[in-house]
Amino acid sequence: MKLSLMTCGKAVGSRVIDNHHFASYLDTSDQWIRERSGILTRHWVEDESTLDLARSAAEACLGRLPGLDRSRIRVLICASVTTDEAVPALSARLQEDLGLDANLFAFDLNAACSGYVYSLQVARSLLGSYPQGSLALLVGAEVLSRHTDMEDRTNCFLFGDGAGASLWTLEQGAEDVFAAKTVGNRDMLTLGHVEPIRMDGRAVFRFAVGEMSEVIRQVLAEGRVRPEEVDLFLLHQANQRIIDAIARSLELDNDRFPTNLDRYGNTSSASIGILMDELYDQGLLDGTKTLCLAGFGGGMSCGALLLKGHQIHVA
Amino acid sequence: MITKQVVDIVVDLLGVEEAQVTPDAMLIEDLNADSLDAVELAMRLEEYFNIKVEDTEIEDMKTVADIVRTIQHYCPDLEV
Repeated sequence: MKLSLMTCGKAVGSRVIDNHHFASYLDTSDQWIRERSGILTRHWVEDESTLDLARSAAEACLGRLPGLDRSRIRVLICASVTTDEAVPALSARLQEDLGLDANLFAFDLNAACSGYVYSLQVARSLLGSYPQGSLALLVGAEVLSRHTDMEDRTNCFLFGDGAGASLWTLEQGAEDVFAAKTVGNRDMLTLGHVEPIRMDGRAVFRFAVGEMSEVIRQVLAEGRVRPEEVDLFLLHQANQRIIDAIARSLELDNDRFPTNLDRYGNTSSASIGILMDELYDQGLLDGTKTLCLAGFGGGMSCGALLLKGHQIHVA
Repeated sequence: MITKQVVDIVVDLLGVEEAQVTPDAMLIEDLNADSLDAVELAMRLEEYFNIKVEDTEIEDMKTVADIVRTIQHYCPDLEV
């Protein structure tokens, strides 16, 4: 059995912040930020909560299937490092807000920026234990602007607020392939309960390019798929330089690596979901595609999921 | 051999002309590299020469000659 995408949705913070905002009070410039990250704008919340973004993305996702029997949704996973509160879980609040059947396995997952990929793998595993036709709703949601040190010129421009949602089921087909890597380390990237995000950009860059390339190669080898046979690599949208380096490492053109980080910045566990929603809107996820999703993040964590010959479900 | 490979890698990574990549050329000041370029350069050197470049060495690689010396340290049998 393999994962099949049914639909997607997204929501982003209501304020658009361009690079000049940072240049207005820090020793930086639009050009410096563009060259080091590829980011032109990011969306920050005004007064929205993480739950607000998660709910909007989930509603946008489910709203695309108006006739859907929501009781088929048996698994709900929310990936986030910026939940509004520890308890109740974001996923539990969503169950109530979305009016989902209480007969639901819902929980939050924290794997930092790897959260979306990790959640999808967990959803895949869980769906196998439910009756065929059951659905998993996956939501990555973050409000990073409230956890950013706005005086830290090395990273304050990187982060955005948003949520990405997707609905999945299992269908007959070639098994998906997953690989993960965890390297416990608190020197490279931290986010405390009080302390804002601290990051050693160079070390993270090195980890991201080195380890993400490795897990991608691992799933391709296990799936017996050559890099050029993958239609789209959907990578965590952290930094254009990281994505460019991975494309070069795999000896592929950048057109297989769609991005939107120029507009949204790094939205951590939401980024791949937001990207998928845009590709879905553009019709780029219709038909048969082989997709490779990959993320890396604090922990340090890293994961890749190969959806081989991915058949998009037609509702 | 080391120098030729280093020049090729620098040219490919930074998109500069080969003639610019002289031994005294400063990566940041002359070849417009930034801190992430330096990390990626180190990763490419590691891959090509099958070595491990430490973070402190990356910071010390300020010129093309510095890079060549670093590779020489790990690969003493290779021709410069």
